[in-house]
Amino acid sequence: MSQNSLQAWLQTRSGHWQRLNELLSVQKDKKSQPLDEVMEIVQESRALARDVSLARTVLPNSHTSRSLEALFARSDDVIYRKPQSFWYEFKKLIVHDVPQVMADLHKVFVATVSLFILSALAGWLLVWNYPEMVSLFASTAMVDHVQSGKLWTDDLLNVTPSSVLSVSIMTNNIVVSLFAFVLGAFYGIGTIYIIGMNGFMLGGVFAFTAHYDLDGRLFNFIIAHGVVELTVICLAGAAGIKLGEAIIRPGDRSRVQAFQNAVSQAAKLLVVVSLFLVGAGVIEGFVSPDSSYPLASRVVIGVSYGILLWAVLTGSIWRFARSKQ
Amino acid sequence: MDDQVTIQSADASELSLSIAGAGSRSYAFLLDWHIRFVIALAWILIVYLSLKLSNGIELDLFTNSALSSVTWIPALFIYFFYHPVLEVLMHGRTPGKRMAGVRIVDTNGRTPSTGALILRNVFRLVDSLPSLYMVGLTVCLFSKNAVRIGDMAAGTMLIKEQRTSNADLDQVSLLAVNTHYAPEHLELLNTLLARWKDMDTSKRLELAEKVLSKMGVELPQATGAHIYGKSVYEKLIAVQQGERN
Repeated sequence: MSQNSLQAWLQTRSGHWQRLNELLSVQKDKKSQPLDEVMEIVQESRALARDVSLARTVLPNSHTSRSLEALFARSDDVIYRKPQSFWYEFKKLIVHDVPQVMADLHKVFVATVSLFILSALAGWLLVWNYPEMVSLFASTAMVDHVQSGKLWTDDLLNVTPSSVLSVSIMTNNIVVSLFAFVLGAFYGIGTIYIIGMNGFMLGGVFAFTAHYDLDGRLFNFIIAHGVVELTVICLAGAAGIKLGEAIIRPGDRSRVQAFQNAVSQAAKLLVVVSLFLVGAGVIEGFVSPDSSYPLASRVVIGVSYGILLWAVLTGSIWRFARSKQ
Repeated sequence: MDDQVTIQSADASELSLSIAGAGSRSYAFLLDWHIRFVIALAWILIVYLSLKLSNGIELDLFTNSALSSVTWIPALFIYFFYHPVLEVLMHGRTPGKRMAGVRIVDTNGRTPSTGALILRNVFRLVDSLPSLYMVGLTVCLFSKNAVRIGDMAAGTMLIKEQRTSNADLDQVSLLAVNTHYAPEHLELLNTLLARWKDMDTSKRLELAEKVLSKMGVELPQATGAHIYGKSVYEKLIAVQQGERN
C-alpha cells in the first residue's frame, strides 16, 4: 500500500472509528437505545471488520491494529450479546428444563435416597447399641439437654426470634445443598460423604433421643420442614453424583464438555430447589419450634409442601394446569 | 508473550485474546477482596456506631440477637454476593478485575450469560478449598486457558481486556493528518507514547532517542536528567501532533 493511499484510508475512516467508540460508550449506560443508533453500531462494526483486516496487513502488530481489534471486539460483543429476559428465562426453566433434568436424574436420585436411608439405619443401629457414640456428631450441650429430658429445640424461640432463625436455617440449608452438589466434582466422593454423613447423623440423633423417649417429639419438630429439606439435600446429592459420573465416564464427549453439561443441567434444578429451601426455612423458623401447632397440622404442612415440591420439579403441576384449561 | 486464544467472530473474522494467567487472576481477586472486606466492615461499624451514638446501645456482636443479625446479615451478604452480583451487572467484570485489566468471557469471547456467571461463583466453594484458593490456583496453573474449576464448569475464562480510549483512536487518526513522517515511524512513536508511563525512565529515554533520530528529528538540548526527560517527552508529543523539524 502506498504512503498516500494509507493516509487517505486513515483520513476517511478515523472519524468513523471515533464515532463507533462514542456510540459504544453510550450504549453501556442505557437500557434502551434509539433504533437508528443501534443500526449505526451494526453498520460501523461491519465496516470496522474490513478495516481490522486491512490494518493487520499493512500495519501488522502495531498500536493501530491493536486499537482497532479491541474496538471491534467490543462492538462484536455488544451486537451479539444475548437478550436478557428474566421472566421468560425463568418460565422456560421451571416449566420445561427442570422436569427434563428430573427425568434424567431419576435413577441416581433413587440411589442417593437409598444411600441416605442406609446410612440413617447405620447411624440408628450404632447409637441405639452404643449411646455414648452420639458424641461423635452431637455437641455436649445437645447431649446434656436430652439427658435432662428436654429437646435442644425446646428453648429455641426464647433465644432467637423466628425471622432470624429462618434466615440462618435457610442459608445453612442452601450451603449444605450446594456443598453436596459441588463436592461431586471430586469424582462424586465428596457428595457420597455429605449424604452419608447427614443420614448417619439423623439416624444417630433419633436413636439417642429414643433412649430418653424424646424421639416422638423430635419427629414432631422435624416433620413440617424435614420432608422438603431432606428431599432437596438428596436431590442436590444426586446432581453431585452425576457430576462425578461425568468426570469418571464422560461418554462421547470430552471430560470438560461432559462436566460442563452436568453442571448446567444440575444448576437449573438447584435454582428451583433453593427457592423451596427458602420456604422450608420459614417453616422451620416459625412453625417447627412453636408448640402451639399440633402434630396433625405439622404433618399436613410437611407433606403438602413436599407434594408441591415434587409436582413442580416433575412438571406434573403444569401438565395438570394445562389439562384443566 | 501471553498465551493467546483465537476466537471466530460471527462474520468469520478471527480475534485473538490474551489469556489472563494465575498472576493477574490473583491480583484481581485480592483487589476485590479488599474492596468487599472494607465495605462489609464499614457497614458493621456504621451500625455499631450509630446505635451507640443515637441510642447509647452497646451492641454485642457475638451474641445471637435480632440487632446483631441486622449487623451481620447485610455485611455477609455484601461479602459473599459481591462477585456474582457485580459480575452480572458489569458484564463479566468487577472493580478489581477492571483495575487488573481482566474480564470474564465465554468460549466465544463474548460476555457470558447470567447463569454461567452465577455458576462459576457457586464453584468458589470447591476452588477455595481447603484454604486460600489452593484447589483453584493449582487447577489454574495446569489447565488449558488457565482456568479454575468454576470456569471449567461454566465454560468461561479470564482474558486481558484491551480497552480503546478515545485518546488511542485520536493517535491513530493523527497518523492520517501527519503527512511529514512515514506511518511506520509514527506508529512506533504512538506505541512508545502509549506505554510511556509504564516504562522505566532510562529505558524509555533510550527508546525515544532512537525513534526520534530514526525520524530525523533533532534531540532537545537540556541539562539535568529530569528536565531532559521532560523535554524529550514534550518533543515526542509535538512530533505526534504534526510538528516538523
